Amino acid sequence: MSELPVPDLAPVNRGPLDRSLMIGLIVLGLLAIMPLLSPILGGDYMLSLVIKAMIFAIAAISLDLVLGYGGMVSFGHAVFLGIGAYVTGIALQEGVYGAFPILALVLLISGAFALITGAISLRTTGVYFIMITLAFAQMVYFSLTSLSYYGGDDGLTLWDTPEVFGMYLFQTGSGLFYSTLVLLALIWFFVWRLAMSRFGRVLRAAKQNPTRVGSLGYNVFVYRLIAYVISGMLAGVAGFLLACQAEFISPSTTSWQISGHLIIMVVLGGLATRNGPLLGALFVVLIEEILSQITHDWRLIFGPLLVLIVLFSKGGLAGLLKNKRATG
Amino acid sequence: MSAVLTVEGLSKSFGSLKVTRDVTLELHTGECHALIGPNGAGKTTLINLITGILPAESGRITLNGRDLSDLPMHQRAAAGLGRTFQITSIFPDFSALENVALAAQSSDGGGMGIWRIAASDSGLNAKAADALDMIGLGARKDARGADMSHGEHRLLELAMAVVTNPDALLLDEPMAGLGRAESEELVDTLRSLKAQVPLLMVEHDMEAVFSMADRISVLESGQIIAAGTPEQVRSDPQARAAYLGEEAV
Amino acid sequence: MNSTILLIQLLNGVQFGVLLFLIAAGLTLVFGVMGFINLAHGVQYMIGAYLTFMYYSWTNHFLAALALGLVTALVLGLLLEELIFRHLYTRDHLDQVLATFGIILFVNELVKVIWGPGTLTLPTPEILSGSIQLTENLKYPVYRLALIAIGLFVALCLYVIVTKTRVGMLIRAGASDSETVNALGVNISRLFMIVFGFGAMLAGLAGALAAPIFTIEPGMGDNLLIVAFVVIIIGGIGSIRGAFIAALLVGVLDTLGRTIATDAMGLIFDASAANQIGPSIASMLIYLFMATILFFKPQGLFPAQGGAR
Repeated sequence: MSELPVPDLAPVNRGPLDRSLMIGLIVLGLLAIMPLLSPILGGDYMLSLVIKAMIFAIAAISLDLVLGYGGMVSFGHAVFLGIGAYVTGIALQEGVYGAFPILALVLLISGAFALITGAISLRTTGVYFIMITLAFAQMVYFSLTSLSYYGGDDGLTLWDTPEVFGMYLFQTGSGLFYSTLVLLALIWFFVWRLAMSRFGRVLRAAKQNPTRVGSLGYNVFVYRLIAYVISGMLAGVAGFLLACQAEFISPSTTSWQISGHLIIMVVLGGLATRNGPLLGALFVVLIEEILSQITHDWRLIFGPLLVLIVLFSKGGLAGLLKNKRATG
Repeated sequence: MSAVLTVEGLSKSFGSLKVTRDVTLELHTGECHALIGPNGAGKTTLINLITGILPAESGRITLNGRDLSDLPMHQRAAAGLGRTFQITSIFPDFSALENVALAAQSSDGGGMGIWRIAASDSGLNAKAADALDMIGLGARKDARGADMSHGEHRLLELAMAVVTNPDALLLDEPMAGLGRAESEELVDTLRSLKAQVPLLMVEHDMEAVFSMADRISVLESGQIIAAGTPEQVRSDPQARAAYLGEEAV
Repeated sequence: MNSTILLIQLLNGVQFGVLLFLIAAGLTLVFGVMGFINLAHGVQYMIGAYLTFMYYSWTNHFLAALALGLVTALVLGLLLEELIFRHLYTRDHLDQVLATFGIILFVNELVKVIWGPGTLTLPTPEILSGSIQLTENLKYPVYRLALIAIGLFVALCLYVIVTKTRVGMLIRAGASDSETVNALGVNISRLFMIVFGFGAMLAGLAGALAAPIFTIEPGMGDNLLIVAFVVIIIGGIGSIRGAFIAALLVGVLDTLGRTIATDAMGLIFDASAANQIGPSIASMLIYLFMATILFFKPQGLFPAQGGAR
């Protein structure tokens, strides 16, 4: 059909894409050697902090699929963390110990919840979407506080961790560290592929001009709903890991402040970028830790820092990295 | 000549205002059918009713014998009804090539892939590059949508509509905002395009309309007051009234 | 459940609704006119309570403390607008959410540093202490009745301002179509400042009035903010009338829900299950209500055309 040489497609994009792949791999590589460095950096405490950061990175990456690529501002994404954590905790409490059956349950239930609430929420747009996703999260929050059989308001301490063929892979320590890292790497790669795929292209286009996408023959609602469900399932996996790490589940995981935190991570890191949510989550968890080491009242610094970043920067951390490379 | 697209008895009102009254028209293979009329006559509304952005109150729309009347917008598009917008409606964050490739992937049968990188799909890219070449934008395929000129946007719109191989193409003021030279080029492009796909075109540029349309329908206050070949319309007193009224403004 | 308790709860619901209205009024105007999502609005409510507490401990006079508190709340609101918010009006919702979230973190922590993390209480002003006999076996605290009266009075004033004055006309125009207001050549940034300062002051008033009833603590505005958002979404963004009706509906629904839910569940489940499910159903009621309203009326009960971008 075409006599044009095909391989020269989008040569402008090739460089930055490869660079973003490299930056991401370097970050993951640095994370991978953390356990070796941990004796110098503060031991087990440091390790568990990095695990927490990686878990939030998974949640932030999954949020970016709807927030960044899809342009849907979900203000209730912590609900999936909560669902993942509670499904895990309740399963362990009820005698289901296998990690795979538990993960399957987590994916199934968080996916089903996303399907139902997404189908309702996506009837609205803009600020109404923000508020209705928040409302669903609040409903789950209050349901969990009244689950007195599983700890109610106070939460529930878990006495077991999931096992894989008799191994306690998800017990605190390097087992949990590397299983989290592997899941993070997989999800990081998967979400980027998804965003760049035919599916993701339609999703990204619908963020810019949904009517036009519809007039090209795509059912925008279906694309958005699928993205929402996948995002919810992946955030559910983060909830599973959170329960394993904390050995504790609590309704506060689904609070709107946590949802706000996830948004901060994605936006600070850089919306709809390959490494943005990853860097953003690591940055936020670590900076909070560092600030809280300096002063008990670290929020007095972090709050204004947020405001200043919003007022004076564009494109988040990923944008900063890109700009530096481009100019220097 | 066979009718590809038929519209029968289409009506619509906003509150008490009747914006489309019992409109019936046909689009035949190989023709360019122009829709003219003064501002506010309901031309864009008619296009929106046919493509399904707005729900019609009554009437029937068929494409190649298939009844589209009850289908939502995206299914009508998938059935082969292409369109361009009066207000430029492209994807500013995408390159020209990606804009067209997005359109192309809606009709290439590849479905909803979630793993392969879409930008490296050589089949899609070749198809998109062909469409851009044909429209005359081949050299700008890597430019970002946001960085292109208004004239280029109009052409890009057209390339996006053409690449889906529609059975009928609805153009809402394709010349809007174009300079004289650009308009003339576009008229040439559209002339060769109509052999591939019949065009239903809303346009204010009367010179362009009378030079390229095979048939013209005149719309006033939501209804068709005259229809026929350019010569017939030119000599129709009612059409002249509406058309001259327009010119006088 | 007897009718006296029901009546008391109804009054409590109205009183909660009135407080919600005071918070929601500013929120809905700021949102409707400027398209600005102000998560820090709950912080203004908290500031009102703390300031009144502080001035009361200095003056030992409730009304004086209230007046000083309101003025300070207004000044702080204007200061925030000048320093931060006005730079965010043209930004997208996400930036606004982020920056105002940062302000919440900061102010909540600041309050903790100044007044400590514990809860504080403010005594009911003496002239308004005591209860009055409403019916044969129903006594109700005077202060709460006064609160309802003040709330209704403010609502009336707002209604008059918004419907009868020039500023009100501009606000309504702004809520439905801010382009038009711009085109009228009105000094839009001054209009924004007035609306913002006024909204901050009303939230401060709500906090000050609530202080003798609820406890004063860091973060006290956070959850109320979410409820206020529910109110303005149900009422329709930018609509004062909508905010008023929705606030009363939500206030009564929430308060009565908490009283009735457990009993109602008792009709279906056994007592222990009802005790578990009741409170959670009650907490969810307003969110269910909002989701239902949005399902049928995606723009809320009284949409101000095109109010929110």
